[in-house]
Parts: sequence; C-alpha cells; structure tokens
Amino acid sequence: MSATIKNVLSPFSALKFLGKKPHTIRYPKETKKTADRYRGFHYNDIETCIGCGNCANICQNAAIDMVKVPGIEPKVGDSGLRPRIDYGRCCWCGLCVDVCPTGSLALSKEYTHVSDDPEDFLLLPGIEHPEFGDELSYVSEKGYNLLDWVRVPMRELDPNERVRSFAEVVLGYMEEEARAEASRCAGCGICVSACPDHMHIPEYIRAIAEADDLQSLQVIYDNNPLGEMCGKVCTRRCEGVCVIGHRGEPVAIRWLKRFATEQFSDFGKVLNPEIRPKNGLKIGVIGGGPAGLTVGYYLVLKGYDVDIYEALPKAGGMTMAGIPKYRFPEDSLDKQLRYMEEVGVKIITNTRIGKDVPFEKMLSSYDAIFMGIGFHKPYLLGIPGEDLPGSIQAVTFLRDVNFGKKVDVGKSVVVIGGGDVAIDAARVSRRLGAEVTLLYRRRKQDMPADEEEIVGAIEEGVILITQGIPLEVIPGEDGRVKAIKYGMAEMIPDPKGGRPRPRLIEGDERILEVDTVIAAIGQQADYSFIPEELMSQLEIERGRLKVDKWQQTSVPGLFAGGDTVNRTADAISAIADGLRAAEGIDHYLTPKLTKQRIDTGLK
Amino acid sequence: MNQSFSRADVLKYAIQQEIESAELYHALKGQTKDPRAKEIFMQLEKMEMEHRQALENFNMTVFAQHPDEEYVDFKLTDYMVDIPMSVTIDFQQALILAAKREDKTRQLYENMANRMAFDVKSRELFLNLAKEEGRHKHILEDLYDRTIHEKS
Repeated sequence: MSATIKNVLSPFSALKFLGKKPHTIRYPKETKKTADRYRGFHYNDIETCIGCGNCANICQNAAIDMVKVPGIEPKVGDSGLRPRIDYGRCCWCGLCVDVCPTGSLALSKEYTHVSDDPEDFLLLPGIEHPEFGDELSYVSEKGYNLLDWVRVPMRELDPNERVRSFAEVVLGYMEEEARAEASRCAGCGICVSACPDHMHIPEYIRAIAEADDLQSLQVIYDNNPLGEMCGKVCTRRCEGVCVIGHRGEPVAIRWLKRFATEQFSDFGKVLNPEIRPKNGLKIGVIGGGPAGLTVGYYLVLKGYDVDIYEALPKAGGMTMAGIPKYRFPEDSLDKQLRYMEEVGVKIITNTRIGKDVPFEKMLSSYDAIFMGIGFHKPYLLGIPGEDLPGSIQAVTFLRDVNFGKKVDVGKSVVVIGGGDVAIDAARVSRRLGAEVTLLYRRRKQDMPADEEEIVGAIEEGVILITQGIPLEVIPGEDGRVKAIKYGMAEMIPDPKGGRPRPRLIEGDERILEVDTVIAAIGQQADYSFIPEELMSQLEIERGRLKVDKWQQTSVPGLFAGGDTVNRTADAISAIADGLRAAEGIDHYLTPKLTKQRIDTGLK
Repeated sequence: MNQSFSRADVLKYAIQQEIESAELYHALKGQTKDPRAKEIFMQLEKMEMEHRQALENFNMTVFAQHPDEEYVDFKLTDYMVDIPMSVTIDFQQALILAAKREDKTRQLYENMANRMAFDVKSRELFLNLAKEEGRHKHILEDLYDRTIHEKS
C-alpha cells in the first residue's frame, strides 16, 4: 500500500527544480574536451604499420583481427595486413598500443561515432576515418611500452687477445642471458618471410624462453640441418626486419639459434628423426657445401641413398674452406657433419667430379644429380704485377690457412676488396702477425661486408683506405712483391640508383710498401668440369644456372643450388635451395618410385 | 694516316677495322666456354656489324638512337693489362678485352676525324663513330662494375 502512495507522489518531487537554470544541449553541439591521455577511437599510421599482428595477439577481448587491405601488398618485413577493430568488443584498455613495435597504433581523442549500421563499428583505423589521427591522445611511448628494446649483449674476446690466436671471437650466451633475450621476442613471425629458408623462428625462440632447448633444436632441424653453422655465421636477414628493431635492438635470432644448438654435444643422441625405409634410388651430389649437405640430409630421411662428392679434404664448402676458424670453429662443423653421416649421408672427400670421377659416370650411376659447386674461382685484379710471388688470391689464402697449411704473409699485407672475403682475409692476416691495410675502391658505407665484421676488423687494427684503386703491384729486386701503387678515386653517382662508382683521379697516385698483396674482389663459378654437350643444354643467366621452383635446371634430373643459382650467395640461401631441391628431387622421382612399387607388387 | 687520303680511302680503312673487330668477336664467341663471355661477344659482333653497315652506307641514322646521350668514362680498364686471345678466355677477361678494344677504336676514329677536317661530313661521321665506341666502352665498364665488382 505504501508503495502505491509513493508512486503517486513521486512525480511531484520534480517541483524542487522549479526556478533553477535548465540544463540543455546547445546547438551546434559542443564536444567536451578530453583528457590528454584519453582513450578514444584508434588511429593507425598505415605507412608505419608493418602488420605484425602484435595488437591482435594481445587483445584480451579478441576485438582485433588482421585483414588484407586493398593497395597494401605483403613484402619482406610487412605482412601486408592491417588491424581491424570491433568496437562492440573493444574496452579501450590500450594494450594494443602498448605492444605496437613501430608506434603506428594510437588512441585518439575522438569518442563519438554514430551509426545505426552494426557493421560500421568494425573499423580499419587509419584507412577509415583518417581524421581520427588529427588529435592523438594515448600513443605508444618507447619509455612506457610492453616491449623490451635493449638486446642482451653478447660477450666477445678483447680485440688485443683476438689477434693472438684463431680462438672463437664470440663467446655465446649463458643460460640466463639466452632465456632473457628469447623473452624479448614478440612472436609475430615477421622475420620468417625474410629468412630465405623460412625457418620457424618464433617457435624455436619461444622454446628457448620456456627452457625447452631440445624442442628448439628439433624445430630448427625441421628445415635446417646446419643450425649451429647458421647460429654462428648467418647473414641474419631475419634480424634486419625484426619488429623490435624498428625502435630498439632486434632480437639476437642468430645468437639464440647458436645457444640452442650448442646445448647438445651430440645431435645423434637427442634428435631421432623418422627415416623412411630405403627406396633403392640413388642421388649424386656434387659439392659438399651447405646446399649439398642439406639435400643429402633431407633425402636420406626420405629413404634415398645419397653420395656427396667433395673435392677438398673435408665437406662444408666455403664454411670450411673460406670462413675463418675464429668465426666458425672446425669442431662445430665436425659435429654437424658427424650427425649427417650417422643418419646415412655418405660424404666422399678428395674427389673432384670431372677429374677423379667423370661427369658421364655420375649421369649413369645416379637417378638424379644435385650440383652445389659454389663460387671458388676468383676474379683477377687485372693489373700489372698481379702474378708476382707474394701476390695471392684471398680464396686460396683462406683455404690454405683453414686446412692447416703454413702461410707466410710477411710483416705487412694489403687486402684489396670490401666484401666479407676481404674482411676475413684481413683479419686472418692480423692473426698471422702482419700489419694489414684494406684497400677499397668505394666508400666505407658502400662495403658489402657485414658491418659487424668491418667493426671487428677495425678493432683488431686493420687500417682502412677507401676510394683507393689498385694500379700496379711493384716488384722488389728479388722479384717478389715490394709495394702496391694505387690511385685515389672520385665517386660518380649511378643514374640507376645503385652504389656510386669510383673513377680514378689522374695524377693522385700513391705507393704502399707491403710484403703480400691479397686480392678479394669476388668469385665466380667454374663450370669447366661439365661436359660441353651438357653445358650447351644448361640455361645460364648472368653467370648463374637457371632453375625452376624445384631447383631443377634445364636438364631433366639435374638440380642445382647455392651460390651458382641464387644471388644472395650466403649459407642460409644455399640451405634453402638444398631444402627445395630435396623436395624437387623427391617430386621428380615419385613416378619412378610409384612404378617400382607397382612392379614389385606385380612380382 | 696521311691527310692526303681521300674520304673513300679512310672509309675503307674504317670498314676494315669494323670487319676485323666483328671477326674477332665472332671467333672468341666460338672459342670461349664461358656462357657469359659468349653472350658479350655475340652482342659486340652485332654492334660492329652495324658500324660496318653505317660506314658502307655513309649512314648516320644508326647513331640517331643515342643522339645526345652523355656517358661517363669510368677509366676502369685503362690501367688493366691487355688480355691475350685465348680459348680459355672467361667473362671478366672478355669484358676487359672488349672495353680496351672499343677504347682503341674510339681513339682511332677521333684521330681520323681530326685528319678529315677538310671534309665536314666525314668528320661528323667519324666523331659519331668515336662517340659510339666510347659509349660501348662505357656499357662494358658499367657491366664490369655491376658484375665483377658486385661483391666489392
């Protein structure tokens, strides 16, 4: 009853507002000014965004999905996708902004969006309503962010100590360092597209962070049988696109791979890959470099018999014959080769195809052939005096040193070139006790060598002369190298957008007294071992063999990979070629295998 | 070359030069086992044949494709040693050999142009030919820089 009386009287309570100033909405509408860190609708700087998806992954309400946007194409380091926000789910917590590595995603001061169409509340920030970007409020600040921008530093030998021996320069992560570094990975996988081998990088890094090193090793071996090699000498294109690297130091992907593989002294005891029963088919591999070894490993797992022919006393290709031991110790290579032989890869060393075994015999003995012969033939300087005693080629020099041959370079050396081989030759010469000058024809910033290696060489006392063109190797009275004459160069811009080209400045010539000249301007393939008839059937473009998507050359059954095929000419690209070729050879021989099985069944 | 030579004599001499160059490149193309060197020699032989035709027809339209094109002389092969003709000639050697030969021919045509001052048309033809040979040298040295020095 009392409730009924209250209901009757309550409308009269409004009488208390009689005489008070009314509250009305003014027209045109005035929006309220928001706080500086207000969290309104999202804005995304489309050009800066790389579509890593960190925002979508962290969103606790599943309000963000990554979608294809017309006009934005995927490329290395950019998935081509962009975030789309469902404002029916978004709670404006700002975690997506906090985890954005590029800082492209922000919250704006805009808080009104009126529509009677529910679909209008699915917005592509930056593309739809770009005006939201006019006044940003909650933005990603580097100092206040969920990402860790600073890399766990890698310990190295002191430069003065380095030059006294061929001991490995990089000391590797301790366990807690590796776990901490692995924890920096956002797990987005943008790096995968940059890796020529498309390794499962986020997965093996996550396993390290979770202290599951065996899982990490297994993931690495899923598509790379030379993980430890790559953990030491990889050109790490992955790190170049790491999302953390946009505003901080990229995750040390290479060093983490090294850590995972170094936790096991004998891969044969921990990796138990499934090996299919022998299928009776034989594959011949010419060249025991990273490409050939990769083909061998994965084809043995598929049931093939694989013979790898290596001209040198040990397999490994340039990683054995070219890369110095202070970067890639021989025991590490031995460990990886030993495991390959344990699973059944047969490596025949000191055997050069075309000399010790005729190419024709290879063709008749194997069901398919893979060539991974590398670039071992050096380009010449082409200047007078190049053939003097004491004037040598870097590839020969590094091979001799790596295979334990005694090499005397005297007290002073000039290395000519600016690539990784030149830097290796310079740093090895320092370890042999020589004063070393690196003579390079362009500017320092044009050097193709890894920046890390250039810094290492300078730390070790290598003197760098840039824009210097070698003109003549000058002999002494004994007929050996006494000096090198070089001229300074001016740089001519390249209208095609490439590196500027040096042009000799007439009259500005200089003499540098040296005991040894080491030429390292580049290498090429040597196809002279291939029979002429076969050679005429091979398609070659700019010195490299043309192959299809299976790495098959224009000759059926003849596959190729590594430096003679790809333009990147590094170990990881060779491994990627080898992996594709293993699939390609298996694909090529499948009809033969099928027929064999049918015939066997009929018998 | 004597200044008293007629236009016909000089043209005949120049045509002979082009024939010899084309024959040389043709022979080298057949000899070398290097596929890239083969390709270079094939292109050079074609160019020399075009020059021969230009001279035979006293035709300057062959240069119309590159009327005012400026090129840079990188002088890249100027200080390199001469390459002997050999069946083992490779791509790098082919580039050096050809660039040096183009440069020598350029100098020859410039010399001829200077000696044909009395004949404006001939002088123009030889200056155009000299420029064309210089352009070939530039193309070869540009290729040298982009390939041989790709990693340096």
